[in-house]
Amino acid sequence: MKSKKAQLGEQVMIFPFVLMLIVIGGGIAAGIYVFFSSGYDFRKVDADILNYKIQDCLTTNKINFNQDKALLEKEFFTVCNINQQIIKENFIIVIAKNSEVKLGIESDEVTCALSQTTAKNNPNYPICTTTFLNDFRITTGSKQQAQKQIT
Amino acid sequence: MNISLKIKNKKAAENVISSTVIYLLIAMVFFAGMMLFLWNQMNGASVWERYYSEEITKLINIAKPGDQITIDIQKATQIAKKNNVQTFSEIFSFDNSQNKVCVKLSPGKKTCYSYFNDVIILSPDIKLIPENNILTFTISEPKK
Repeated sequence: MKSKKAQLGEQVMIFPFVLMLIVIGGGIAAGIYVFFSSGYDFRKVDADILNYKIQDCLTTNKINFNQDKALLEKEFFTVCNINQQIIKENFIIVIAKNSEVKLGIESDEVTCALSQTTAKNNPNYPICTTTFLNDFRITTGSKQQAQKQIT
Repeated sequence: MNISLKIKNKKAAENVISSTVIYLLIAMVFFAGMMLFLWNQMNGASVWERYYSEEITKLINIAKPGDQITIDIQKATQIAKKNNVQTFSEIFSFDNSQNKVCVKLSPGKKTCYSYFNDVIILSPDIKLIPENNILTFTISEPKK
């Protein structure tokens, strides 16, 4: 006859069993997540397109970079047909003329430099592109990630 | 004596069977859940949602007002159909107020991506052509 203590031991064995299932399931889920979620990063492409668009805009339009910063921002975003709100949320634009930053925040260039070194694989940091056009140094960056929404 | 031994053996057998059944049930539920999860992942809905939303955003960012864009969405419609998305018009949505492109390839969720080009999207339309479904839309200047 089985004692009550022995029956208790048998019931307790369910915990290691469930734990084992959780470990197996977690391992499979983690493997699949790593496999499917990586490798489709669009930040560099975004930064390149934004940079190209700004170069194109500066080449074809004449923008007065010697005016007040607020006025310059307004003119720049209107003339270049870029949505200021979206840029503020997820992008970086720094335009320097003769090494003097005229548009954007200087510290954003530091963030860009960081993202190329220590924070290279950090998805929360922007990926940036810097180009030179005549007297201008144009730095653009993107930290945009696809957003999942419940419908 | 003999009868009581039989009864004890029967009880022990019942105990063994019931605990085995419980273990089997838990294992079955676990493997069913895993299979469902794997099936959903292999179907690749979330990967394709990201792919389409980001590629369409790229097209919009480099487009100019007046451009008409046509893209092949055969793969997207196949996945949406497999995942029982109610209507194809639900798959692609454009939010002109927030400059967003959203793609929905499975019920209950969608993936969105923002475009910085200050334009609006007009008359998005899905044309169902055998072997080559397409999405067309027109880029226009925003209403000031």
